[in-house]
Amino acid sequence: MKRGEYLAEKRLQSGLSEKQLAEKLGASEEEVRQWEAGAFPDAKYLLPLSEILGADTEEILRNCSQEATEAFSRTEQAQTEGARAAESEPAPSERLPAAKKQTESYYERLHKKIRYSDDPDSRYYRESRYSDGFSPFERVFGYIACILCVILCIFGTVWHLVEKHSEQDAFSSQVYASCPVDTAAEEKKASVRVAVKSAAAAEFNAEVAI
Amino acid sequence: MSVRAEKKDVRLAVCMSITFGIGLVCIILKENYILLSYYIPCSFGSVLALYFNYSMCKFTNRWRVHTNSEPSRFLLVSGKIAEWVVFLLSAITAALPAM
Repeated sequence: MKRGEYLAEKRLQSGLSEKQLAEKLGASEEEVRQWEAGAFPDAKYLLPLSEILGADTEEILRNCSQEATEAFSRTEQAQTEGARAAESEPAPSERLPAAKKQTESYYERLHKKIRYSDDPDSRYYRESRYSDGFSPFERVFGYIACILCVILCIFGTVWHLVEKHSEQDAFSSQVYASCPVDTAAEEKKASVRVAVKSAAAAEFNAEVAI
Repeated sequence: MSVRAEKKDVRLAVCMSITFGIGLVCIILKENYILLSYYIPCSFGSVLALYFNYSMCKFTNRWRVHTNSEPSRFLLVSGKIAEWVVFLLSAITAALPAM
């Protein structure tokens, strides 16, 4: 398959029109039409084109001229050299304060996406999305769980203490009811009653005899 | 993490510690002393593990060479779920009736 046909097929598969593809790449619609007619895309558009269309760069490069291949390899070489130079930068204390960047290039965004490091001074540093602590959902769930657990614990403990107290009362009343009566005192009382009755009867009999 | 979010997290950690203390008192009042050997390490450990979950997962990943030891989302979420389950189970043991 020729390059132009390959690009057109890939564009249609990804559901993009020529205008949409041109807008995404930052190129003109005319240029996209020329690529699909057979012209070789500019070197700066090759990687973004392969990324957007999901196309193989080898397939795009096939059937192209020697000059275009050399231009592409020169662009790649310049990018790798730039990446190496950035990594061998001087220490942060020696560096001049960098100017604030307005926009990031495609390659900087790509490199940030695929790899990152813990070193804040590295150009590939990306702050972690996660940290210690709790998420908002966890906080809500945690508070509800803690309140329910406290209510359960307090209710259970109070119930246990009330049951224990009522058991103790029932036990003590049982013990009191089964306690033996003081028989010696009762017998003494009965004997005194008998003695008084007999004395009273003897007196009565004496009076009657008289 | 912002200072405000950190304060909210510390408040929840304090609330969980208070729950742990109330549970301990309830177990002692009910005289379920046999449960203390399970309740104290599980509650104390789960509160700490819930707060320092990210640091612990990152520590387990520190031997991975080709990444910056950033833990995966799966590891973080599964760790959190397990720690919450342990905390809830220990809270339920505090609510158990006297044996």
